[in-house]
Amino acid sequence: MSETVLPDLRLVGTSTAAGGRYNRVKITGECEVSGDLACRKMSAMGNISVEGTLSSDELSLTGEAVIRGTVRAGTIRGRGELRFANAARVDKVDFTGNVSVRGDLEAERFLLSGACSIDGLLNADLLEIRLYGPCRVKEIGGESLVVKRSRVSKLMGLVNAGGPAMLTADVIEGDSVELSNTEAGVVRGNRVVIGPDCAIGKVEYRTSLAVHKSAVVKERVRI
Amino acid sequence: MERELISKKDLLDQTGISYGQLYRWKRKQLIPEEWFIRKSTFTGQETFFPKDLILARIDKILNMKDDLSLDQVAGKLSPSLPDYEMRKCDLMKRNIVSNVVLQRFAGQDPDPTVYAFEMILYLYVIDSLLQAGDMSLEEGERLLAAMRDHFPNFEGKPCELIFLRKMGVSSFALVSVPSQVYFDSGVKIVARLSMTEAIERLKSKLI
Repeated sequence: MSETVLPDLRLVGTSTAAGGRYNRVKITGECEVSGDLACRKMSAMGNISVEGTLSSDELSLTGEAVIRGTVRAGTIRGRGELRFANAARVDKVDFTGNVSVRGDLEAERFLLSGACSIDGLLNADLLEIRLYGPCRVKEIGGESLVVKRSRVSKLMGLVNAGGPAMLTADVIEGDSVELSNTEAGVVRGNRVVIGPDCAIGKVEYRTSLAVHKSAVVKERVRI
Repeated sequence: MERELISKKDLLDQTGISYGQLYRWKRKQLIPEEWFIRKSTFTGQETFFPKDLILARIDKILNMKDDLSLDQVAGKLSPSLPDYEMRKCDLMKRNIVSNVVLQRFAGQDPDPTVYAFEMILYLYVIDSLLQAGDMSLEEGERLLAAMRDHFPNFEGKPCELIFLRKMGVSSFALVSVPSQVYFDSGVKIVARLSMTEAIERLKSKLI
């Protein structure tokens, strides 16, 4: 994809496209892509759905994106709703809104302000989640994991219909783990900080463990 | 044939690597997905690995990562077939495939003939089965034909070679991994060999 000159794709309004390989893709409005889409740069505003796989070096999104195939991307940034019906491998995710993935999500950096639902493993070197709504992840693994509740969501919690701003996970494993508002079965790590409003079944730690007074940890094991 | 497994916790203890490293290596596909075996234990679900494979792999990564970047290491370890070719006489000289095999299966080709990686792989697999004493030369010919016809169908996906015998009659099967295969009672599995591992071993010999 390096030397060949690839065309650009610009779409405005309600439209459909077959897919293919492009240099830049710019979509404003509503667009349905019926095949695989590969491009260097993509920016989309509005509703977009891709039936096949999506690969892009840079992806910026405002609105809703539904991708049925696997996703490979350099960076994904933007706000709105992301729905991946398959696994995704991304270098960096910096997103505000709702992310749902029906498979594994792998990223070097995963920064999310919002809510998410990930059916598989969320594997990220650096993970930062600011909770604005319910987050449900089966497994989280990585090096540095930080989960915080946003200040706003405390107020919004009174009127929020989507559910409380909580993270629920079966297993969380990392070198440095900092959690708050989290319900997890097992948390394993070297340095573990369990913040306010957590309910953890079991914590296995190596170097240090700090537990906030409002958190509940059933079992603590030092290995 | 059940493989010995090691839990993730024991693995980290034994090798001294951290969760972050393990997950990073998984992301870079240095550790294949099939090796992550989920099992439920009395403490909930835990991840296990095939012990011999993962320990050898981690050792390899730790050794290589001092002078190579992780992406370079990934290239060396990936199961995809490299664009690597070698002349017949070099194969002989470097003792990658034994003389007997070369003579029998490639006797008519002149010495400077260049073989693609796939062909070297087939010869290498045949050679290792012959050396283990599991297979006869005639069976080797059938194996070569079977691999030539069917191995490319896997398109780089992991697969296994099963060599079985029943009442003295032998046959070969290539199956994708992970899969479960069951045979009737008279069947004896002579050898079961992962092609992915064979590719890796051959790569480390060639490159």
